[in-house]
Amino acid sequence: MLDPEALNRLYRYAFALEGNEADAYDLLHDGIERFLRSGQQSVKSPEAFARKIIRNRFIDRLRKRKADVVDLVEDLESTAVDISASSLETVSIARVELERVWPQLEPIDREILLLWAVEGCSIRELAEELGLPRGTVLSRIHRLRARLGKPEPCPGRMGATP
Amino acid sequence: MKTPLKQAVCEYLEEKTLDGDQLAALTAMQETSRGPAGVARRRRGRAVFGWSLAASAAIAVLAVLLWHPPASDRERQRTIAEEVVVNHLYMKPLEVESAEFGPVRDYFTALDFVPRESLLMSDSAADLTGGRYCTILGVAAAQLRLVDTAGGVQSLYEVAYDPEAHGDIPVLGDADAPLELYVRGMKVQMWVERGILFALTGE
Repeated sequence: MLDPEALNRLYRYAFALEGNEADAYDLLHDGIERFLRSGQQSVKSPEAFARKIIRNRFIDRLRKRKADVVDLVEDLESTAVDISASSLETVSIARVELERVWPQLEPIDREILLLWAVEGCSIRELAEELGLPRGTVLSRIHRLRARLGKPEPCPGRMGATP
Repeated sequence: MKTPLKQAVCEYLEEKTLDGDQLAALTAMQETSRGPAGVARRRRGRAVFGWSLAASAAIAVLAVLLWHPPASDRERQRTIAEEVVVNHLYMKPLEVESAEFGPVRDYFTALDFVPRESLLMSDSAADLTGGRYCTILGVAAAQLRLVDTAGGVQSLYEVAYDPEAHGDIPVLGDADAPLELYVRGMKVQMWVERGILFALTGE
């Protein structure tokens, strides 16, 4: 049986995928229901198994919303970018900015952030967990860094008139 | 003030936790699944791989039965009522909106039964506004939303009736009144009609 701590971790994972709390609970409920129906509660790692089910259910939901599943696993051209997961370590962000940007990020980017920040995954582990080529993961990190690590506009020049 | 991204993401996500009602609903769902009805449901459709496997399964089921005595009808119905009230209070967005029953019924194509209008609701002053999929004891169900003239919102749940899972619930037409329970201050009525379990709650 999944204890409250495990349920909360799965909820955060669902929140990373959906981007908002109401849909996250809905997805978690759906995933746990499938998990229980599967009869696989005695697997070695029930939480990891439940997480896979939640991810698969999320992809099904994307399909139902008429969104192309490619949106989730967008096959970016794996150009040779000089980037690694540690590149995100140098990014700083204001809390209010993170809250503003979070719902606007692609689900795959939120998932990367959770796995990197909370689970401490390396690039190789991210690629394995997400089922993506290493180059695609690197490209997403490159984009994330560019988006989240934008320098703040200089206040003195904002709205300046000639 | 800016903080390192990793720290900011951790702190932001750590704040996202299930509330007490949500945890209770998910825990109740798991406990129900561990009971004999859940075990039996999962066993349906599985191939039998031989006598020794069947004997092992029988021993395992016996162990589960001994370890988790069957829930009484009252306990099962209280669990259903709890789930119904929690779902109602969340007021999740409707997936189909219509004041006509036909379009709402036709939306539910993934259920193993056809949603029906209850005869018990025929005199109701509440109007249908739409519906969404939900689950009752882990089984796919229809949740219909109704609004009365005073603006009170009601939720009517429909799921295929399974006496083994749901217990003995009054059947409309057998001169039985609906079963009434109170959960979290909300009245829940349950009855069976044409093989469908109906559960009604709301203001």
